Amino acid sequence: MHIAVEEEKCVGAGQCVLAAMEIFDQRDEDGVVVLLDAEPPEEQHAAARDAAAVCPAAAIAVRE
Amino acid sequence: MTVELPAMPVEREHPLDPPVEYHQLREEQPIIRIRFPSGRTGWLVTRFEEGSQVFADPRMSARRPRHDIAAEDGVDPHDDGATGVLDPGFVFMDEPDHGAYRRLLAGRFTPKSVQTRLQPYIDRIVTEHLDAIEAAGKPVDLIEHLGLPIPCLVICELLGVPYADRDGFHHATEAMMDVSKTQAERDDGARWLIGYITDLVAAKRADPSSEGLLADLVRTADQEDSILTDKDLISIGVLLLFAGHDTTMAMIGLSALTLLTHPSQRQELVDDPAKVGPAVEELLRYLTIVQFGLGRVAKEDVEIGGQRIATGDLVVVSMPAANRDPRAFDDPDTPDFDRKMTRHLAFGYGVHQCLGQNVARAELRTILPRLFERFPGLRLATPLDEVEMDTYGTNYGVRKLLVTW
Repeated sequence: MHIAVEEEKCVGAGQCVLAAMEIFDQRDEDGVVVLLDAEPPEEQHAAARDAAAVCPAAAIAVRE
Repeated sequence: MTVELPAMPVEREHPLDPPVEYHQLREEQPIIRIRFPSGRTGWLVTRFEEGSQVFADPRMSARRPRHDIAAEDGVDPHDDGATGVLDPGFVFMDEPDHGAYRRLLAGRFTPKSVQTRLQPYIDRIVTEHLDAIEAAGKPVDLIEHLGLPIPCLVICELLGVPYADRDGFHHATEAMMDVSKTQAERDDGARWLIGYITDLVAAKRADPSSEGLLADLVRTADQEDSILTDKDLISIGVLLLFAGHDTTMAMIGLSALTLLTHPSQRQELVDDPAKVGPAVEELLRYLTIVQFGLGRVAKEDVEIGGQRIATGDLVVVSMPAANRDPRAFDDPDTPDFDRKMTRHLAFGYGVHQCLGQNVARAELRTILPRLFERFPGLRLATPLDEVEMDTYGTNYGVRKLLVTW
């Protein structure tokens, strides 16, 4: 699995962090997504897919 | 020949369910040409996937006419102001402008920021208010003693607004949000809030040591290259103040009423505090307070669910209907805390999804388990059909919730 984020699309809703906090964080100053792990281990794949699905701005792409 | 279009359903049969007409619309005419309370015609979307598409599509503009208030003297309230005299600011903007404003605020609304900066405060005030309810004696109105004060205190803490002013800003908000009032009455409410925030911005500017989000925004605005004007500051301040308390108050009242009338779900929450996260998401889905939905306007011709939408058409997504769509949720009319649910539309979707959602979650997750732990015998002090609902608010809610124990 490979994850990519588009910072310019992100609106900082924090849904990805709620879904997969091992993989995503947010910048303190503007809430924009910070990708912690672009290639997460298998046990986090389901959470990564959820994070992509809940992102209101479609800023997360998951390639498998 | 003029064909009379159907009207948007607004009357409820059961206080916790959307109007029953939505069942049929969702099954038979999920995207239907309709006449809104404003008199304007447009499309009403009642399914989950199609509703999500409308919110996610950058061709659908957030700059929209108000659809949920009645026309007066035959005049369509078609101005682009969400609340008449109030400048709706970035809520009505599209990208990239909307994002530029939102990013000035988003850092204060992340799960992490809410957890570290607000959660200890929420814990403390919820305990204090439960103590006060116990001391006050029964029966108690849960809205007056919990549902209203907690969100007011939290937004005051976050923004840096004096809690002593709560009656003023709450009553102004109520007037502004009530679709049964006249435009003049709603405008009076909006003017009060605008005047209040204008004075507060001046006070924050005069005192460099002042704290809270509003003071931070004033300092941002005063930097040389900032996009924030004083007009923006006031619009944002008013938005955060009214949207920050009216919404969560509605959800606290409706959630408490749901748990009071669903004993097994209530028991699950008390028995297993770890369930509070999924329980709150399910209550958000089940109750979906933005009762008249949210509108968008097509900036070009688009197709949604096989229906062609022409440039300039108004499209309203009924989130209460979409969140009860059986295509997306099994047995949607039953609150189920074990439901496997990735997302719902209670906070909207797309780039405008609710900025304050993590604050609302923190309040609900703190209040609901503790309320029912503290008062194991909590029950309605009136029959369900005598509970006074807020039927005319943009956010559906409970006006008065008398309980005993």
